[in-house]
Amino acid sequence: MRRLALLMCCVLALLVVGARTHGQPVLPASAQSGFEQVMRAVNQQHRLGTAARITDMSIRPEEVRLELELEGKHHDLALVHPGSWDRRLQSRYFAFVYDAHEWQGQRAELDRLAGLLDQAFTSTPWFIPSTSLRDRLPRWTTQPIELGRGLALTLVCLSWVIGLASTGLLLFRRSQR
Amino acid sequence: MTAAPSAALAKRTQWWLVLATVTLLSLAWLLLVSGPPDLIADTARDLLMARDCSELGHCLTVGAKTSLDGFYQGGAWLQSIALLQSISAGIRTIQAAVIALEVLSCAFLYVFLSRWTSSFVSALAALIWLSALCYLGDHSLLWNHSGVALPVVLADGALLLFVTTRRTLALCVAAFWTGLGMGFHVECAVLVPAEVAFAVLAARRPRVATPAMLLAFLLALLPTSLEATRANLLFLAGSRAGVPLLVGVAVLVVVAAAGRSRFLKARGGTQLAWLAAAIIVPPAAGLLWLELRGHLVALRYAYAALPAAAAVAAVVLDRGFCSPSRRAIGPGAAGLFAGALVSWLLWTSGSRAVLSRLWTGSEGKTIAARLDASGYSYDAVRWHLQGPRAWELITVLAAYLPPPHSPQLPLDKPDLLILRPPPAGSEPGSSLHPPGRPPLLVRSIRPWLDFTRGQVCILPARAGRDTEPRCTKLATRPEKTAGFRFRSRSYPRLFDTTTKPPYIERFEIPVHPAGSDARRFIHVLDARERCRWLITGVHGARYHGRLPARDLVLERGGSGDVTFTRRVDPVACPGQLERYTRPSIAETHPDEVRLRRALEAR
Repeated sequence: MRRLALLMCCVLALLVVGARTHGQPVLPASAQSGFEQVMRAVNQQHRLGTAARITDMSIRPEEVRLELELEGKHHDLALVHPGSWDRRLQSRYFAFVYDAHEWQGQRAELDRLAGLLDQAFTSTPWFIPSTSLRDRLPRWTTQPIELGRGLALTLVCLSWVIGLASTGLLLFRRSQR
Repeated sequence: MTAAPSAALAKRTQWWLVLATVTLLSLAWLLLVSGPPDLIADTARDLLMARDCSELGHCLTVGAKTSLDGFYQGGAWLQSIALLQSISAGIRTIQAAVIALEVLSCAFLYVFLSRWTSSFVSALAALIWLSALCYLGDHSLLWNHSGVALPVVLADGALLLFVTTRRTLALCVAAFWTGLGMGFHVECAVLVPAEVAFAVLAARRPRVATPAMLLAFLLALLPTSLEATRANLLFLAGSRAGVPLLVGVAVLVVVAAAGRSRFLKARGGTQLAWLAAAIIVPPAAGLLWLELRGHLVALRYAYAALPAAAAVAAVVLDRGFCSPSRRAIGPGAAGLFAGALVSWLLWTSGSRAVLSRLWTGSEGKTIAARLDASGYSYDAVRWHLQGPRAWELITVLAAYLPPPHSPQLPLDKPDLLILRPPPAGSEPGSSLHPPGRPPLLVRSIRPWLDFTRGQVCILPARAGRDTEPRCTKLATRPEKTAGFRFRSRSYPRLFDTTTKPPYIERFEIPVHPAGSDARRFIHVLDARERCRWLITGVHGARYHGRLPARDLVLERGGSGDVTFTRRVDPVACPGQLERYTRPSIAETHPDEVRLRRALEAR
């Protein structure tokens, strides 16, 4: 019993350490270079000039956050999917959530930047887990999984049948005692 | 026949009789309180996703987003609906299947409890569970909560059997039903900590029982909800809750391992008290935590704990009223309690009165058939529906209308006013008769207000900020025929905005007098809604009335536009939905007094 507890504690400790590592903002090299590439491309195309550039970018399931340096000042911007759940499956496009007062006069530029980012992310799958974790997972785990109709319906049918049969077995064998 | 076998036979007969009574009573009661199922936007979304599977063959192992941001529902509910749809079952069949599951859950709760306690307590617990089903589950609605009843009862019951018998099979059955239950609603995950803890605490061979339990859990969960599980785990791993959760599981295992010998020495009653606490306390604490964090919570999210809670309530009532020292008052008190219980059940059925303004599946199917026969595509319906609760009707129709035709059907159709029930008298228009529902008035109207050519403006409403509106044309975007998915119709919307509430929503709609009317009455409907729509401006057109107003009369002879405005503010108007759709209106002839009264009454 104690051995089992010790073993489970070790496994859990490993998982805790792993999860903590995933939670760090440090990206693995390949992911880092990928995003740097996007940032460079956007910076080049956007032509905001030397005073304006994207300094950081982070991706989460619900939003993309950007740090933008404009005229020497740092600004935090969020890009979100404006659509609802189903829209996220169908198409993806970004729009800025920004403070209208703070960004007065810059909206056309921001809209253009959103368009560029939209293009840059077109090939990204609809579900984007935290970047570091996603980069470490095999590709199939970040793609939506679709089952064929026959397989899906058979599986759900089987689940009910197995569940009810095992419950019946449990109760029947119990009543025999 | 000796005395002992005849006593055993009598006992068995009594057990079967009580089981039959509980089953029949549950069935009768559920049939009594179940009218035609009301469809809400969530139901329509699930039906649409199931149609993707049953009609288009695109079956996902993930359901909708949960109210708790970042988590997804499993796919078992959708696939169960798709299974029924694939044998041409309609909404009433789905409802019948749900009722059957609920009746079975009451019967199984009795069966499981009667292995351990008296028939009376077991039957009482089953009745309390029945009332919880009706009251907490919003029984008249069809949604994924509806399918959870049987899995949670079987999971709780098998856990009870596991603690009393220590058989690994019972633990595996509990884990299996928990996994399948999570495919319906992710809330069933609250049973997992109790199962892990009791696998360590009570199993004869924990090293065998624990992996077997995990295997049974995954065997039930993954086939129907692989993608949802993956998304939820990735979200947890990336969120701040991931580490505390893992630490919590580690602590749980260590504490369970340390307390195993003490648990095994404890009396049976104490062991079951521990089990009840392990099932009931985590969801209760979780709901409290979510409530404190300002999330939308309801008691139905503690469904998985309710069978255990019903059992505890029945035991407490039995001990309180029917202990040997109080045998004289016991039956009377039990009778009083039963009376109170039935009254409560009757009261819960009153919830239908609140919901009866919703559209039912029967109405949706009948209206959709008529619209389809008249050449209205889903696209046209989105723009051309008038009448009370038009958005709700569009969500329901989305679930029934066929996929887009190729080539596209025209969008420039007349508007349709749909009203339930039609006012007395001979108002122009045809009537529809959905089975089991009041008739409907369906009237074709050549609209004066052309929403397809209007624009919507969003004005941020935060004090001290820039309030310059952002306006966009209400452009019609027809449904895709290639790569079409039914799920794209969920929560229909006519525009998008990234502005977060509070904001002011303003529709500017051009006036184009049509038909032979000299005047046209414009009503803004759904006055019961908080922060309702008002007509706040008329530019370039002649009108009668004082603004802002709920209705006014437009005169032929001018053209311009009419402005509708409302405030979207979840704080000032709790319960308000951001719908991204047009205001609900109706256009009538000014002399149609009865129709106008009927519209105002809705």
